[in-house]
Amino acid sequence: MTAANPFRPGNPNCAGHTPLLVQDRSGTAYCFNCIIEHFQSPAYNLARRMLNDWALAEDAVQDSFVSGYRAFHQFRGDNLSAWLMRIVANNCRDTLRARRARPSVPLDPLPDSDNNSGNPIPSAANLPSTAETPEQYAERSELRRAIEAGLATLPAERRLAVLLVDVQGFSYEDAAAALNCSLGTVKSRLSRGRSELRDYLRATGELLPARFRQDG
Amino acid sequence: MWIFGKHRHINPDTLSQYLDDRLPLRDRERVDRAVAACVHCRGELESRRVTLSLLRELPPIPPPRSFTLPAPPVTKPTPATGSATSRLAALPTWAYAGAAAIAGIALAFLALADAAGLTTPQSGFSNADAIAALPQATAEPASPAAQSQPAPQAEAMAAPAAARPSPQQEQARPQSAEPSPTPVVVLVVKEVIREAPVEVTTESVREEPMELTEAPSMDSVPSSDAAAQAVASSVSTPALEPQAASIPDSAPSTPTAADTAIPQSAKAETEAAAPPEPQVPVGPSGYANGDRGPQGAAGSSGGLPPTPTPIPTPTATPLPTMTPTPTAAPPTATPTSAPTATLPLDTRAAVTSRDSGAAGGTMPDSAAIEPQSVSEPPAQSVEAPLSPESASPAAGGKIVLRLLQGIAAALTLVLLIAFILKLRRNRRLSF
Repeated sequence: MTAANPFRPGNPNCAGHTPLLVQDRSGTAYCFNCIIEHFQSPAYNLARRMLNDWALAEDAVQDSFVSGYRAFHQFRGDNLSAWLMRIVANNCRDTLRARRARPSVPLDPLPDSDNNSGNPIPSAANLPSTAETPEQYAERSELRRAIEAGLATLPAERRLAVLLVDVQGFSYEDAAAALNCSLGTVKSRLSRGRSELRDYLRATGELLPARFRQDG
Repeated sequence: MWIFGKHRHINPDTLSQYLDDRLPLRDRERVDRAVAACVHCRGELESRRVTLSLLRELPPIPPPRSFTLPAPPVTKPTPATGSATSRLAALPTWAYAGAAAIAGIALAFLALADAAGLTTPQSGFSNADAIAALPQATAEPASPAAQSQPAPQAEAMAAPAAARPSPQQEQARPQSAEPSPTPVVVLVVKEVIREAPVEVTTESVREEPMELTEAPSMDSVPSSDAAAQAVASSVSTPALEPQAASIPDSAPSTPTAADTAIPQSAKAETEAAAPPEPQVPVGPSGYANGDRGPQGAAGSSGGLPPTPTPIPTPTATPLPTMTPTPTAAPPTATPTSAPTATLPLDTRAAVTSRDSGAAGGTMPDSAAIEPQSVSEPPAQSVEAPLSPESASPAAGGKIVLRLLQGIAAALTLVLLIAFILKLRRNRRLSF
């Protein structure tokens, strides 16, 4: 990261935002807004699927970036994505803990009904599709809802491992660094999370497309 | 997988790593053979593969907005805007550690004072024990000070009554006799004792004089030391005897027995050597006539020998030795301005009598008394106020120490918890 720093101040991507200079522990300079622009999508996806609430996910991601900005002098410069995802994961844990302590029912409409209400909240269901037929779109939406519902049933730590490795594409090592646990723990959580998700999808197999149905 | 002729299904963790290509080649071939031979293992692997493909096909969710920061966020709230909690949270970690260390040191100090037997009831802590620790600090520095300036003090004592110390100068005496090197623990105990026993000592002083009247016969007491010891043995209990040596001087409460014994005993020995002269009854208590001494202003009118009044004024100022007033003037070296401010009173009396013997001094009867030995009677004269009834101040001191210990322990605990929480928070942000 230090040798070829894509987030150095003054890089071409830095023109679209206010330069925000930070330094890591070794003194290497970064533009933190470049870092935000690069990592905001995976960070939001992780928070969104962890919290199942777009507003809470936004808050968690914004708080994570602010925390990362304040604590960037502690970053050692080796694995920036894992460092940032660790902050996001910690914020998601805190949010889940707070929500469990004070349960609430959101008044916002579900993201699936956004198309009907005209609310421009983006989601995977709202992505424009030019090639899909209405049947294919309905099938994809059902599949996505079933998977996200299955993910929501997983414990938080297993869900984090599944999201980081299977959805975000992290390696085991990066996931272990982001989750602050050992490699074996990541493997165990991943295997059990996949098993539980498979069991959930089997239970709701009728909703899945035919190519995903298993005989059991 | 076949082991000893029996098939065992593949571990789900192994299947999961097989799907992620995390298995070594040997294990991978073993899984391939097991999947080819076992229907259950094959189905398990296929179901996991489908689940994994479903997860990987999940579409990414674009962020609803850009999370870039338009300006650097405020890292630390200003003291004016932040609440007390946020200001405490903004303190660096070393501040918590330092505060916890200071509180711990205070706790250790209080525990040390406790372990030294100053507060435990089993150790029998009392004013007597506390004051018994003081003589090394109080009595010793007084005598060198007295020896250092004998001549000016003598001149001051020979001065007329106008040069006698005022009541304010009298109040300055206990402070002038304050010891310089004192152990810390002794100082703490001294402070504790200074606060509490005021009323008790006053009451005890008022009750004790009845016993003072029954002091040993004046004729049989050869010197002031013996007189003071006699008074001590007749007045106080053995437990209170150590208190006597601890009080430096200027205890004008009940020195009258020794005060009156000195003239009568020494008069027979020194009457021929020293001419009789008007008495300035500066006894072991150190009060000249006109002061708050036992004889009061009556003696200052001159000429009258000290009458062996058994109970002159038992209620007279028992406290100056215990509570020196903060308004006391510092000791001065000039003999004219503050004649008796720095010299212990008993020493002053002896020096006065010795120096003025040839020059027509005022104290012929105490000429043979050494300064060191004369310093004893006033200390013992304070013994009466510290009667067994004054053990209650020890309870007060004990309560104060216990209270301080509790506060220090609670403060240490809270600061340690805050320090640990701060460390945990920092570790979550570090990588």
